[in-house]
Amino acid sequence: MNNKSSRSIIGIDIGGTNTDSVVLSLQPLSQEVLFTAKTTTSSDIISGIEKALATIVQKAPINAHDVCALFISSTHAINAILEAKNLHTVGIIRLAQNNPAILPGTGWNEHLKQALKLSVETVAGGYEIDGRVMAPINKQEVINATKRLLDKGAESIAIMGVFSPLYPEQERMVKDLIISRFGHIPLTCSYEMGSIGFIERENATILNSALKKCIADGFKQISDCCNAKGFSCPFYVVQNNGSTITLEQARAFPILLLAAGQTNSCNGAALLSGYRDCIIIDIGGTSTDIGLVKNGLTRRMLGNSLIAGIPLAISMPNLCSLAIGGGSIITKTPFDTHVGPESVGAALFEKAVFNGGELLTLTDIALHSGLFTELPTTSKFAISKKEALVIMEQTVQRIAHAVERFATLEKDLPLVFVGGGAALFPTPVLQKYFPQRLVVKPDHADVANAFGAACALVSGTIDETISLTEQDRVITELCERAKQKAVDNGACPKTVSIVDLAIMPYAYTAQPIARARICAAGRLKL
Amino acid sequence: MTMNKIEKKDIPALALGAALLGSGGGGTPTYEPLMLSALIDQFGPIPVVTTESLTAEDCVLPIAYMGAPSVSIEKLPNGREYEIIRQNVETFLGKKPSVLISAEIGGSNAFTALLLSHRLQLPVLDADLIGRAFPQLEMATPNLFGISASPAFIADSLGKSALLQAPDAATIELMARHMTIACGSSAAIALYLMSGTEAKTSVVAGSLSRACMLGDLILYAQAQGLRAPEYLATKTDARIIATGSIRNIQTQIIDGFTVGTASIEGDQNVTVSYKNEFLLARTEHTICAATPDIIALLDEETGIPIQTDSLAYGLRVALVTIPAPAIWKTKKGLELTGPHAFGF
Repeated sequence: MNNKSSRSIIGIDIGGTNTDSVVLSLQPLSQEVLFTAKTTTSSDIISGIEKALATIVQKAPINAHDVCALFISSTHAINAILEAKNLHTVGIIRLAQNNPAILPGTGWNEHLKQALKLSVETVAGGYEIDGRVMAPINKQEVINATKRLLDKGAESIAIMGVFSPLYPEQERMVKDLIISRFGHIPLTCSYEMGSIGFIERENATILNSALKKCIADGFKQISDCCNAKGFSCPFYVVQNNGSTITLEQARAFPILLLAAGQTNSCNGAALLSGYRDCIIIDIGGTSTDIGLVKNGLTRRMLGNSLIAGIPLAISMPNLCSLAIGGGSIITKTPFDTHVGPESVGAALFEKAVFNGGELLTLTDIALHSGLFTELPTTSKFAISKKEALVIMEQTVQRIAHAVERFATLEKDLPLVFVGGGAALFPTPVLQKYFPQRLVVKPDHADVANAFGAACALVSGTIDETISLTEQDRVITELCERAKQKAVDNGACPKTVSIVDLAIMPYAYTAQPIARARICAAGRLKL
Repeated sequence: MTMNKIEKKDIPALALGAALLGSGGGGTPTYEPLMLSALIDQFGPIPVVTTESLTAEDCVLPIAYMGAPSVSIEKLPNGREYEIIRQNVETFLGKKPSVLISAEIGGSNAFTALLLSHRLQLPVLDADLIGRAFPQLEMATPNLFGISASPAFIADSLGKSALLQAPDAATIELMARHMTIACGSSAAIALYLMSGTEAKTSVVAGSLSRACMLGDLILYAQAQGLRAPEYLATKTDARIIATGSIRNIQTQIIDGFTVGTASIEGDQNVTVSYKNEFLLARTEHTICAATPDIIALLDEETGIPIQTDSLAYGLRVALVTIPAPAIWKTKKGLELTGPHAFGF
């Protein structure tokens, strides 16, 4: 493997348990996998990436300066929200003369609400849908309100104006006012966070402000760390719809990363398998996610999503998750045996029995049953080989039930197994439980997520309010601008196409207007 | 079973049932369940009374938010609207409302009276004025019983208010529509004020409990892993017309209404026409269901209603119809809300 390919790209996926990396050689029509690696995600995430990059520098048949792009996907954002850790506290300024009865954070779980120490100030402001000002901004009132929020301990500010997606002027004015008076506090304006729908947009604005802590800091370190290792190429970060944004965008809008890990996992698996229509079963260290890919696109949830119980206007992949993974802890009761839901997660090698630890995990069971032979072990297991086989079969059966319930109507789609935990189940065993379906475990299935990241399309997004009187002309023009933006971000012009087009007309307006959100994406320009 | 209060645990079922009775319109209850839940946490369950318990002395105040759903989810109400309306009712009519009733059970207005109960310190009647959702104010059962829509009261969260008088309900509708636009396309309205005696005969009784019952069935089916639309059809008078995927959506916004057609491709191809609500379902040869009967599109598995403003290509749905309250099937009822009333 001394044939050092001249140009290559790197994909890194930072999961909750493992950090996967993959190096692809760049050929015009295909990508050849040159190198893959798996390292454990450390509690401090950046050292996991450092480890991954160090391994690549040492072992992969490439030169750092020949790498033309580095793609990163991560579950950082969603994990920070789910664990309510590493977040800024948030003060909210509502520009809302109508003074909504519902308070910010209504319905959230208490744990997260406390972590964010939500406080709110409602000041004069806001617009009617037809553009009339409900009330003008009173600068002194805004300054006093901000001061009270900062005094209460807010580390970041969310600015939330009624109808700001249509009329952003007041939010912009308040943002400038706060920066000029209080310096650069992390700020988010709601007009950049979504469309009409006060609560979902407010939730997104709050979470975006809160997430600036871990994402802005985390990604700052990533770029320093890559530079230190000699990688001077551009970085791309995978966003919710599976395409990429720049590092700067990711730092300003971390909310765009909430669904990124899940979407990327489905995309990567489908790409690896070569099927445009398939069911993805991603078996990780802690959980198994089942998703559906149709015509190359991941099936998404209907309507708005709930993340940690919070309604958000973000379209999440429709997944079925089971608490089954390679690190799932096995518990025996006098009556039966349970797999999960607890998992040793990243501490598999320290805690599992096969490597001298004390906790019996699904990996131990797979080894002991004889179905999985890829790890050396000399340990003694507290159960019989026959019992181990039964547990393995029961586990596959649980997955099989979930698949059939998840995709009742897609009876003939192939099943693509990926993820670090997929190796525990040999293909013939899986096939036995899916007699009607084709079971596929593609090469490099263990690093499917990193592969997905490396193949992510480079995107450009336009989000504007348009007049519908000349709808066709305006939309064509916006599509061209979105495509140009994708090209400016590094996409190859010939491959760019529109991947997302949403026109949301507003009722009851004097002029027919709509919000248009258009995302174009294409392959990285070589 | 008579319902005497709405508790927190009833909210998810009520939201689902109200959306189903919305016949595709009325706005999906989204923020209302959250707000109601927060109110119940703070002030306790909402007291509910039945039509039987009403007396001649009762003054029943039917209320609803009027306007575009896309506005009401952005410019949120704060409750002050109805304090203004109550004050205007007392000042101009010299009457003190004693019971609230949501004018429309279909969609988000199912929650209106419940959300105002604590603030106005009034119980909520287990009833509504429609039994489903309809797009215009004259399409309400009191109109069939000679109860006047006038005087109607309108107010918004910024303090604007008006009293409307007109010889007929259709004119009140026209006036209120213009007032609503002046209020930023979202306003609170109260109309068809009536005595307890009048309410006994002229409202659709039991609407709240009916919505909760339908929602409960959907939730039960979901929990049991059953296909909710099929389960509904076995347990109620709901009937499945067709199942399949949504194709060919043609929607326009005309005068503030969501108007269009969508086709469902499956065991048989059915086209549904809508103006805010689903109004007509037909195959090439026959009419399968028509207004005033309720027509709903439910997610084929979960039974979650898909409203006319959130139709999406490729969604797999069951097209379901539920008979409308009998009063709408009378000659007068059909004149007001039958297919002809909508230009079919």
